[in-house]
Amino acid sequence: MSMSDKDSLVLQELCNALADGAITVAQHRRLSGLLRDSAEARQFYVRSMALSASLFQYAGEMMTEAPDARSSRPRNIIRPGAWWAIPIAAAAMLVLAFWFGSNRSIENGTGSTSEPESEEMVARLSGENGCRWTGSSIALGDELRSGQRLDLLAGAAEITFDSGAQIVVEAPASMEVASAWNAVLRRGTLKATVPAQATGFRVANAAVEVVDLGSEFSMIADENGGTEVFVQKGAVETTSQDGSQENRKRVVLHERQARRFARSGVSDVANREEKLMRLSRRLSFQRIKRPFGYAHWDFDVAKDHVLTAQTADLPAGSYEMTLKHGTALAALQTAGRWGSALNLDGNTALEASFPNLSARASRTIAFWTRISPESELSEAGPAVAWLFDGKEARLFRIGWNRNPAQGAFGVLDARMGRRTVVGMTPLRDGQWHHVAVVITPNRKNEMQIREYTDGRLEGIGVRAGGKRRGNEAVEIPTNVLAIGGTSPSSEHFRGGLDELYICDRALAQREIAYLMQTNQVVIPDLLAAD
Amino acid sequence: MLLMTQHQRRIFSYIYTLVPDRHNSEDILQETSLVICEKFADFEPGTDFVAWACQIAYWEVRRARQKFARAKVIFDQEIVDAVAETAGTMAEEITQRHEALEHCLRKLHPRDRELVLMRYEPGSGVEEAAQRSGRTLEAAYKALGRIRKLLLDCVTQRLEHATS
Repeated sequence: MSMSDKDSLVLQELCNALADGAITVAQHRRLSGLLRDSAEARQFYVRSMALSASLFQYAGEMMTEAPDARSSRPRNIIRPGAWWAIPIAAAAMLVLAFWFGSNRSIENGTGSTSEPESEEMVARLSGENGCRWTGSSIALGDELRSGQRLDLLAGAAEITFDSGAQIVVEAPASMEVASAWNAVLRRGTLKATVPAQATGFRVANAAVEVVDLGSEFSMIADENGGTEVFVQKGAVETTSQDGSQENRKRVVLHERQARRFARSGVSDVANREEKLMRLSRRLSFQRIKRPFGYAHWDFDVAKDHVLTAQTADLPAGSYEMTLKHGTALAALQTAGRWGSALNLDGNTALEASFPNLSARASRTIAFWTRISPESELSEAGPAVAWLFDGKEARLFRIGWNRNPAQGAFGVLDARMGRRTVVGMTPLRDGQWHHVAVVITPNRKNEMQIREYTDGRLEGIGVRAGGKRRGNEAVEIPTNVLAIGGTSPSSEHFRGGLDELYICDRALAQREIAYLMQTNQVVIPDLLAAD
Repeated sequence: MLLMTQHQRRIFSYIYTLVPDRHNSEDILQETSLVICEKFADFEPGTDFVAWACQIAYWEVRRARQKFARAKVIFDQEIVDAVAETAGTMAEEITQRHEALEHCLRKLHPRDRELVLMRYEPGSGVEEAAQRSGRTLEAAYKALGRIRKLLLDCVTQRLEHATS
């Protein structure tokens, strides 16, 4: 049956009403009739609904930027809205993040110090030695934002990135903190120390791009645009920025090797050994101690149906974890990553009173988890949760991602209200994984979330997430830590949980890695920069 | 599951056509992803992955319909089947339309573009878009209807132009 013009108009109206969730029963009946009787109507309907499906995706991608600006505006975070572009591998993500970040930096030229647009905190000034800065001064301990440029007139500065990479910059120097994974060195001397979990960290400028392959390396960028690269330990991959894309050959430099990159090409470094000696000397830095309080549940012993916590420097309280509903504690205990662990069965929830937990403040939540590949979607409830800011709409929860619209399936998922950040390592593999989630208020008092899986930074940002209907039943009061579920009727978490720490400060990657390796909270004096 | 990641958008579009509710469609997409993971060994490399995945999605839609049975506005199975068959034959065209839509969005008046993107943002809806754009709810519904027609026409013209 061919549609009349009138039918076409009616069909369009009906499709609009359906797409906007405003269709009446009578309209739905009419639409059903048209779809039943007319192939033409069905084709129109499919095009119309597919348009809405596409718009969901484009809107997710363009969420904070106008389409006209998309091609020109640099992006250094991957937006969850672009969910068909889920990162396949960490390496690919890092490459993209770096590419956008470093190109933006280079294109920006060498103007005066300017405030970055981004509020994303990606690094920290962790040490200083007689620093004098141009522009706004940076104090020891200050958080540094993505895109922040640093012009050092005198002294030396130590910067610790959230990825765990650490650089020392010696004046006179000009550089940019592009992201947690890369920096731009315009001028001056830089030495980078990169732990295994931050492999892939990059430093670039107009002459060369240096990618860490597990190393210590240094760079000296001179006024004429040339840059010398030295490898003290391990290896780096260098790519000359000179010439066309095709001519940009990648060269791996190994320990004690060095190259000079300039417009004229790549050459050996004069006085290499002498420079390597100079670059290898250790500088002393002034650092600030950043003590923190914490609560630790080891889940080793359940006394009188209570799991006790070790606490330090936290407000007075019991912090004891008790069964809220579900299986008796004794039946939940199993061999853990360290001693015993809780083996949550997907029906059980526990609670612990935790004074001030709901306050808007920095926290680090770290624990070991083991999730079976057989875990079902209905068992993807929160491993850890609490009401943030005292509002039910702001449930903060950590679990695994069951929604492919938000990121890879089964990866770490930390969510605050409708904001969510997902990781990259699938957790649903039956193995123990160490996860850490760091929440910190930024300058706008928005909460930034950082996620680490097995010590490696995998997610960062204040990101508006995909759908979450907000219909999760929540029956926990403020300042109460919920484990395994937030109400008897909501989804529960099924999986192992061990060595849960909640700290009242944002831990750095090194502290998280130390905690993972030793099951001890770090003693600040023992770890440089933290 | 590179294939799933590559084609997730198309599978979502197919599901949404059968179940035109974003949240329900995303739930079904989740279930579909899980089944695809479980049955991936059955997929024959070299054959049409999207068609195979949409078959799985179709059965997940059928299964999910039981959950929606109480909803007042749910299509009869007969209509879902007819629409599914139509959607299956239009897969290539829908992909082309998706690509053309990006161009058409750029051509929209900035105020219209802002409204439609606000409406379709994750977690948003018509009411939120109306509020944020300073329109009444009725005006927002009307504007969205008009903008969708503009976009549908623009996409159609662009595809016709490309083939002429």
